[in-house]
Amino acid sequence: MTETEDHTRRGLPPNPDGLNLAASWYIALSSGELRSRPRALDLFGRPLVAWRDGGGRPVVMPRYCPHMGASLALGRVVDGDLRCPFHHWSFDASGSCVAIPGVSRIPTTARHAPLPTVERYGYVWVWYGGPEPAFDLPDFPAMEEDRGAYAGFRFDDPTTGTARQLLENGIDYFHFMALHGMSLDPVNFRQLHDQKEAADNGPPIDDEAWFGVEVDGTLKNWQLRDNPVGWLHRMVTTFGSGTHFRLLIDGWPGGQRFTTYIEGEEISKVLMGITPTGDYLTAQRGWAGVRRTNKHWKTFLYFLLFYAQNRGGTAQDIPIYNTTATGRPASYVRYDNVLVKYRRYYQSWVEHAAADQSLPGEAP
Amino acid sequence: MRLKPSPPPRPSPSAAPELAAGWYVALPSACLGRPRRLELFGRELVAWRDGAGRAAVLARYCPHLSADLALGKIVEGELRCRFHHWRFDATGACVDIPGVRRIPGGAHQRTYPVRERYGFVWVWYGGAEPMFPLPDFPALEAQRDRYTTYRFSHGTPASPRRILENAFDHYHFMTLHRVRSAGSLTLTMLADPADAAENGPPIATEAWLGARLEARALQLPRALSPIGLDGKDFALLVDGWTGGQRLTFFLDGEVVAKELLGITPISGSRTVFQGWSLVRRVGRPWLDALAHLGYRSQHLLGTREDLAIYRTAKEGTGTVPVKHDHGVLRFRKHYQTWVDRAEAAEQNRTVAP
Repeated sequence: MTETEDHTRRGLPPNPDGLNLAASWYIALSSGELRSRPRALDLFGRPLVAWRDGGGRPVVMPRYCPHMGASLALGRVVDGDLRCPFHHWSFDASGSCVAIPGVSRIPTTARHAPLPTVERYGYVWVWYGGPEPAFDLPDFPAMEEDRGAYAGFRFDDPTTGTARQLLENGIDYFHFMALHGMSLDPVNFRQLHDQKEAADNGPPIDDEAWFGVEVDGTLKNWQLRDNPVGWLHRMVTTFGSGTHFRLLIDGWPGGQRFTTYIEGEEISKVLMGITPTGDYLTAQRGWAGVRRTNKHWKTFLYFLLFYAQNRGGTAQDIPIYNTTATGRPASYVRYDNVLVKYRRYYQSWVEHAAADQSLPGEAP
Repeated sequence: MRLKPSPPPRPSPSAAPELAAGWYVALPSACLGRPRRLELFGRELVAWRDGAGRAAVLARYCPHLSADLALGKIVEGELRCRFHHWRFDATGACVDIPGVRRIPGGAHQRTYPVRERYGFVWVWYGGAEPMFPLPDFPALEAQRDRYTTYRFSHGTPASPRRILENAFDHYHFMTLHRVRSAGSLTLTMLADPADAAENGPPIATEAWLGARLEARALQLPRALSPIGLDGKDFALLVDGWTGGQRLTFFLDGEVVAKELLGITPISGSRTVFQGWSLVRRVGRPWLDALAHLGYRSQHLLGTREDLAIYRTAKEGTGTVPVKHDHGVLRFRKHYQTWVDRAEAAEQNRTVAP
């Protein structure tokens, strides 16, 4: 029996190597990256092409022409269809070949199955794990109807980690203290069981796909004179507005929404999506913003502090993402109990994706 | 496509070579300060120094969530993982987990026996316990003032065995390195570790293999005749264990140089050999300098000839021996018994916790 088998036998979630991707919505690229020209895209370790049809709607489908394998990314969009550069075969937004110059009968196999696509929050999202999305892309009002209440920035952090590593980082609350040096004492961490508790992040997500947690704690009230590093850390975390810290995280198997509160007042929000390019090539992308205050200078100061906190924290996380091994058994301790649950939840969505064996591009 | 530069790809560890149990050079002592990644025996390891400055070598990934311990930091003489601050002592035991009172049984890292000597960190491969002590080499310790010294280090795709068997291949000195002498160069296998006393105290008999190579009346290129080496009798005394060798070079029975050779088996396709060369002092500084330079240049040129062969040879092929290969064949047989011992010991290791 291998160590990994033993691990699973003891009722612990498997810890596989490689892509191990959950069925979910993922960020393919940002809206601005996809203009009128088609472009080559690698996602899930597969070569894809992204383009916009006549209505400006994004289409993501397998990259190579079913005719002779030319890259459709070299093609052009003509009359709302993607035209292959090689023999001018044209494909519509459903992936069907609609015109072959010099040929009146189009072979039925001349088609590509596009991935389900949604454009929202400034990103093109694609569904991985079957021809039909199992749930809708979750809502995040802070980037839509409440956009005006926030001052934010976008981030895009390529890593050599895996999607699960990046997603479980928020669930692994103990690393906030160890790696990031947050002086939360006491600290309470719990899994949420009712979506109402995560209502501040946005409307409910499909129940099956939802996972939420909450960190609630008090930061040590370091004074500048006694502990300048601790003081600075607290200032950057709380904007100097108190010591009671609460972080609400909820999400779906491929992304998360965050709200941070100090003394019960919301101070910031984050939307994180994942771009799984291939094996050990995963980016976290999204948006982070502070809640605007009634004074511009204060909002600006908070924005700067939040930017420093977010980027600084990510700079601490990325070396871990880039070097952590996968496929090994883990020694879980008491504080990992929610992490273990998260890994089980995540794995159930990996199985969901695995249950659908059809690859995009194969005619159904 | 992405505007941002992609992070460098993950190195994938290549399979361990067929490696004999033995002491190997991990890295020069001076290169080990803060925890650092070490790839050795085809395995991903971490090297660090404990509170007393003693070197320790552990499996690289934390047993908790597999973070890289080389990102960690030494706190109170223990290696602390950067991710959740689990701490490990030099025995690989997890000694502290913040926020947790009971340390789980699985929180133990494999360690490798380590010795620090001759300016190198040596690591034992083949089970949890060394089967023999790291051999002595007095020329680098008690008798160091008799020599001028320099350190060498060369990387090659060849296997450790190929590098070690080279000294027992007396014939290649005449062909590849063009050593000319009145008679043929001869190789005599030694029967007893005590026969290699000039190299140092006896090495554990089971691990030991030694030979004496001799050539009568060396013929050197005419350009070298004025320095008086021409016509001298040459001898090379080599002995060692499965991961290193001690060598003494004689001219007319006088020691002229010594060498300590250590092997660093990084992976199946990468080996470093490194160590010390020592050139006997005669007491006159300008002569010593000249001898040092002369020895060093011929050593470098000879090594380059060997490296070209190492770089291009194919392991596992070329098995048509002739009678003058007896030294190499004897060495390979000896080496194989230690490969078997390593395999058995490593097997035991994976069964027992």
